Order: sequence, then structure tokens, then C-alpha cells
Amino acid sequence: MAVVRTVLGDISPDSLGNCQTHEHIICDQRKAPFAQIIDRARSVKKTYMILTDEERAIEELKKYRAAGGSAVVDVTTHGWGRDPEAMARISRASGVHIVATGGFYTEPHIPTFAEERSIGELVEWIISEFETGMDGTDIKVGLIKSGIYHGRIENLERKCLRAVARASLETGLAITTHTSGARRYEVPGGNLGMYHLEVLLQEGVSPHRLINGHVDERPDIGFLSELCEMGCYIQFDVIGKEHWLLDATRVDLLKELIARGYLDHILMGTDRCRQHELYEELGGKGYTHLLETFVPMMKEGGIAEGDIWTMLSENPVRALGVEA
Amino acid sequence: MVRRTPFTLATRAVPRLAIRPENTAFVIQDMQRYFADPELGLAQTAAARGVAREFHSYFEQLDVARDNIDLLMGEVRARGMPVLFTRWAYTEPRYLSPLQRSIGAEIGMDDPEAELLYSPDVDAGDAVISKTGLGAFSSDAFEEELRIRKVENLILAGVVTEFGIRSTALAAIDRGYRVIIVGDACAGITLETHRHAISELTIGTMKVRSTGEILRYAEGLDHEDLILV
Repeated sequence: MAVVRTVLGDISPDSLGNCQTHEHIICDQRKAPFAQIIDRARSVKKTYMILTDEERAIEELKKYRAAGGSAVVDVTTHGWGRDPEAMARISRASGVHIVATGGFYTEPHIPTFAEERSIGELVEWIISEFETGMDGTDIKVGLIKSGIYHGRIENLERKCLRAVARASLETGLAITTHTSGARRYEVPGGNLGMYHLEVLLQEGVSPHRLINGHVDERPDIGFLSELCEMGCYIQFDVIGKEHWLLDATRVDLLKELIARGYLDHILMGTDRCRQHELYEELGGKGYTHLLETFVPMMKEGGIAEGDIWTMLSENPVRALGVEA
Repeated sequence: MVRRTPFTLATRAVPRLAIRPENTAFVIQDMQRYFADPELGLAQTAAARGVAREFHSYFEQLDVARDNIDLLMGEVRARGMPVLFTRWAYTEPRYLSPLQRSIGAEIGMDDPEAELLYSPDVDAGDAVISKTGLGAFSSDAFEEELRIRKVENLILAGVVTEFGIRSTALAAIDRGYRVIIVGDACAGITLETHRHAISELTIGTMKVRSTGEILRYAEGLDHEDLILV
């Protein structure tokens, strides 16, 4: 029987509701083990990803719930501020389901043990977060991740991807990915999706377990169509971040992808990871931007309400569902 | 207002750059007392006008940039890469440019404001180029130094991101060079102008990397090895 594994336990897929599949609820980039690779001027710019205020997180997710949101995926992985117990408290207090994420983010954030351990040992660790719990708790992950910082999948990031792929094969968990925005113009298609897929297929993982993240940062509809044809999900998960792409362009792309028959491959989120992206007093659009602003834009753009529900709820159910 | 730079949505992906000590130069742009001394030049003028606070962000960035340039110098020297220093100064008074005069930065190469922060670190194989324009290529001597050394790639650091760095980088790619701008080894007058300039400089054969990334690329490689960026 398929379930969605949340920080408060397994729920039936029917209970998921609207789900934004790429968000951050609690994170702290200052804890990144290889933070020196990150532009050091971040400390001056104060643009680190830091969301550590639990009470504020509850408040923001309550707003999200009031706007019609039911669930979110926190894609913060171990090593840079993920806090399972805080996520559980926040979920309980806000009434929003939270799915936690295992695996690895980009190289600056990969735990130091990943260099020393074998792929097999990493696989065991990833699976333990799904079967037993994260960081000494009994709170489990419901998704795993591969983040790529550089314009190629190589070295430590490739090793971690292989471990994530093998863990996916054993558990059935979907793999959500990150391609770094700053490298996007160096990557054909603007996304490492095909390279991720290449490794997954080598490991025997089905394309339908791959969620290509951040496809709406530098999209190419031809490339996105190819990923869908291969059976993958594509995730428009920086909705509201218009320095990458206008939201109106996102609507254009979604309409065209739906017209091409790829509705069932689309997931959505807003990747709120910085205070100035989240908190209204800092100019942030909050977790509610998708439901309150982007959904009306989609409707106005001619996307059917049923299709919006498919992208926001039915697709996440299939992507996140695992056999209990 | 959101600053957008959609040009690269419609351009081809940029290939990897092959960095070798024999085809790459480290360019440290305008790290001279006029731009970097908190008691002289830019800082002195700002203080005299009561607007020193406007430059706090610049000097904060500059502190980070200086540390990073020091780190990069270590790696560059170990690999035998040449270092080209530029400074904004005229060699003779008759070469004072209208630009320098209009801004009020009438700096001659013997003036204290022209003194490089890295003067003690200039090696025999390095070059120091005085120029009267914003970009390094405003001096013919700069490209001559690149040609002599058969340089194809520039690793660029220094000041000021939105003026001199930007000018050098764009002129370099116009002339067929490949450029790596070390984002956190540069400083803009404000963080915003720095970030905007950097975001606009991700085009064609130009890449932006952090100091930490470059050091990590080079980690574990022998000094003569190829580094792919």
C-alpha cells in the first residue's frame, strides 16, 4: 500500500492535498561543511540561506494553510541545519504536512563523512533515514536528493548521486535534484536533468523516480519536453523568483507543456530559503505566493482548474508515494 | 524592482575552460591605495565630504577580496602563473585622461595613490601596467604583456566590479580571451552594484567562480596539471 512519509508519520496519499514539493522550512547555510566554496562575500551580502526561527515558520505555514496549502516538502538535507524535531513541531502546530528529505545537497553542503565512506555505506545511511529516522530521531524522510553545484556531475557529487540512486532502487523513494543557478548558463538545456538521468539509468533506477528541480530558472521547452518523454518529472520550483524568469513566462511554458501532453509530469514549488524571500516585511513573497498569486495567473492564462489540481496534488501523490 | 538578465536564456551553453599555468594569467586590477586605502583616495574624498558611510559596504567587500586575492596568489605562484597588476595612473602628465580629470582622480604613477597594495609581491616575471582608462585594455601595454606570455585565459580579481573589472572582462572576451572572474575577490561600490555587474558578466566565454571553488579545483592537482573550470 502506498503512503506518503511525513515527519509526523505515514499518511494516505488521499490526505496529502495541495503540496509544494520544493521548499525550505528550517535551514542554516552557515553550517555547511565546505562553506568556503560558497562565495565568501555571502557573509557580507547576508544572503546565506538561514531559516531558524521556529515560531516564524509556524506562522508562515499557517498562512500557507489558510491559503489552501496542505503539504510541503522541506528539501533541506543533513549537514546544513536540517532539524527533524523542529520540523515535527512546526508541522504539528501549523497543521501542514511536512515531508523531509534525505540524500545530499551540493558539494559545499555535503557532510564530511561522505568523502570517507564507501558508496555502500552511504546507501545504508540514506536508507536508515527512511526506515529508522534522521539524526538519532525516529522522524523519517519521505524523499531523497541529489544537488549538483558545478556544471558537471563528477567527483564527490557523482559519488553521492550514485548512493542516492541505489537507495532509491531499494526503497522506491523519488529523487529530487538541484542544479546550481549560477552554472545554469554553462549547461546545455539549462539543467543537468539528462546527466542525472544517465547515472540513474546506469544504476537501474526508473526515470519516473526522478524529479528534475529548478527547471524554471533557465528553461528550454524542447529540453523539458525530452525529459518528460523520458518519463521524468519536471519541477517548476522557483515560482516568484523573477530574476530568473518572469512568472508570466512560467505560465506560458506550463500551458505549452500541458498542450504537448506533459501535464502528469509537472510539480511546483517556490524554494523559499532566505528570509528576504519569505518574510513580508523584508519584501518576501512567502510560501503563499504560488497559491495566492501564481494560481490566479495560471487560470487567467487559460490553464484549467483541474490541471492546476493535478500539478499541485495528484502529481505530488504519485511522486512522493512509497510502499510502506 | 527585480533585476533580470534573460540574455543567456537564448544563448548556447558555455563550454569548459582548460586552465594551464602556461596559458593563463592572474590579473589583479587596480588594487592600489586610491581604491583600497581607507585614509587616501576615494575614502579620503568621501570622508572630507561627510559621506564615508556610503562606502562602508565597498570596504567591507574589499576586506574579503584582499584575503581571497592573497589565497589565490599562493596557488598562482605555486603553479608558476604570471601575475599582471594594473593601476589607474598616468605615466606622464601629458597622458592624464579626460576621464581621470573629470572624476578628480588625477593620479600619476609616482603618487602615493598609485602605489600597489601588492608592491612587495611583484615578481620578476610579473608586469605592472599603468593605465588611464577603466579597463586594462585601455593601455596597449596590457595586451602586449598577454601576447608575450601567450596568455589565453585571464583569472580576474580586484576593483571596481561594475567599472574596471567589467570593462576589462568585456574587452577581453571581445578580443578572444576567456575570462574567469573571481566574484568574491572583487569589490563593487555597493553590494547591489557588485551583484548586478557579476550577474551580467555571465555570458559567452566568461565565467564567475568563487575563490574557494578555484582552490578546490586545484586541490590535489600537480602544478603543471590542467584545471577544468
